[in-house]
Amino acid sequence: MHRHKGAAWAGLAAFVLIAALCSISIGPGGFLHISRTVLVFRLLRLALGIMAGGVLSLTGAALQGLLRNPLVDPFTLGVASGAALGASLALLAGAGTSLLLPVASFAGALFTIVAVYFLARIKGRVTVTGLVLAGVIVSFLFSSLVMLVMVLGHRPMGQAIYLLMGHLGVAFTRHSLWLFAGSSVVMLAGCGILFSYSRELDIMSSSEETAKSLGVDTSRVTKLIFVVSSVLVGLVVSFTGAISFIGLVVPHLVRMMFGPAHRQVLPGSFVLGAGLLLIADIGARNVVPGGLPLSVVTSLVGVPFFIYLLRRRF
Amino acid sequence: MNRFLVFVVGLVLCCGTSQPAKVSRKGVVSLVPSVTEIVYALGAEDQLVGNTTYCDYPDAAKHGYKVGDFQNPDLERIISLRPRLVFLCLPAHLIIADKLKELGIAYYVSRPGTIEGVFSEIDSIGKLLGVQKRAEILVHRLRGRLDSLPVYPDTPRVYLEISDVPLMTVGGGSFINGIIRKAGGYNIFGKAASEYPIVDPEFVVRADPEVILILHPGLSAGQVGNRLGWSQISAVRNMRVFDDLDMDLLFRPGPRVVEGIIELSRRLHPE
Repeated sequence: MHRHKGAAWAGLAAFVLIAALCSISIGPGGFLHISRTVLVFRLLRLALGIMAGGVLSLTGAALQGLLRNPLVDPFTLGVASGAALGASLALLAGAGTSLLLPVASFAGALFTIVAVYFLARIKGRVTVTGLVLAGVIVSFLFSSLVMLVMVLGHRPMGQAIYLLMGHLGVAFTRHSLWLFAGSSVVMLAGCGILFSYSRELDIMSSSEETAKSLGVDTSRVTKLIFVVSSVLVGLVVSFTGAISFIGLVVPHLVRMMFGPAHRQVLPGSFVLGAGLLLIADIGARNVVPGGLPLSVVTSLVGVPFFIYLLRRRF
Repeated sequence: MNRFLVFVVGLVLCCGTSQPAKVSRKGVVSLVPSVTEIVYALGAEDQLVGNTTYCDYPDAAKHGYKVGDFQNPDLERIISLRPRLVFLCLPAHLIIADKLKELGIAYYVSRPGTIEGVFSEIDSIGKLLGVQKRAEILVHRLRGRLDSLPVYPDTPRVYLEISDVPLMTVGGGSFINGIIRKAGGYNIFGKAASEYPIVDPEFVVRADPEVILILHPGLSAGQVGNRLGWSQISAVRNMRVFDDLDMDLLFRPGPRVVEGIIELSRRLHPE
């Protein structure tokens, strides 16, 4: 079993490396023709893609474990749409590259996750279907609100679409690069915190009663993971918009490789999510001239998988 | 009880009679800012009984009766005006169009995709409003102004930005792409399939635009050079980044578009 996991880790590492190399060598500037300037752009895009894919997948894995629900991720819970709503309000207020943008999308994410949790809690119990239903409802509501906000602000409709469906088209300035570097440190720290709760997540993913009897302070852990997840999703969305399905599918793939233990699933999700998003981005920006929203590509792969999950488990 | 009934009937009668004050069987309603501009340019504003909050040119249009905003016009307000014709555009007004069809109210779909399309639109609206002669004169005058533009031998590469988070521009299928070309410029995203494509910053730097137009409120011309890697772009080096063009002149397919083209061509060809 140990050797099997070692091989899986080596495979993951190789996959991400190949994805990163492809991402750096393929672009509108030409294949393998990389000047110094082009390299700067590709490296920035690479960093953005790794952080977005990794963080969304790891957060998805933690939320699936915490809520004992295979169908939740930052997108299906509505958290990503909430963050996008926060971001769109900040954008209208003129916060192009200022600190207000990530803070507003964090606020949107936190508000949403709490709202969805309480909407889904009926008579003190949170059911699988209740949570997904509440998430979908809130997600629809907030997506419409993003559209409404952008329309009322006389912004092009396309801007709302990309906020809701993800992109890596960020023009970094020196200032926003610092903001991204700072955010990356916070995101890595957040991932570290979630990782340090691997044992609690293992216990809680069996059942809340077992967790309580084993001395886990479930309500404290739940609150903490909600807040940390909101910070993570809020920061990602403030840079890339809401990218769907990556946080849902990746943890399942990783569990197939490593089994259910979060000590493996969380870092594995980060690595695989980063690699898959880089591949999706190559598709999004090179297949159609003018580019596609990232979620178009991730959904094309994610939806069949989602259907497979639904048919197998329920 | 009887007294109450009388009161209710009275109330209904009052409401009923207060309504027709604004009724005009001859009036038209415009849900499209560019059409509103055309109606005013044709001097037919006396027929215009309703427009939207987006209709802000000329100044007089601001004081017209508003039936809602561009995206969400209020059907009841439109009906209460009993218009003989409603100007709308698709797909924004798809639902309204269906309802008007059900109610038997005539509507005209405005969809000029090109500059030539704007001219034929002015002609059609002129016919519909019974001011055909004025429409012909207006189109003739606008055409004359366009034709007075010189034919430029060189076409500078142009990057036009409509949003910075994410970076977005205008593609080959858009109305404004035709304007850039008419003003003597070459849109570096003219080959993009979508109307408003997302931009890979790497592509912009590689295409090296000679003129950059910022058409959104989020950014000033000076800030463009602060973007990493953008300082080497010709437009930035030669200080040909502009953020002060009037967006309505370029985006609205109305009579002022000719002004927009002339204004833009001055930026593209200052010599």
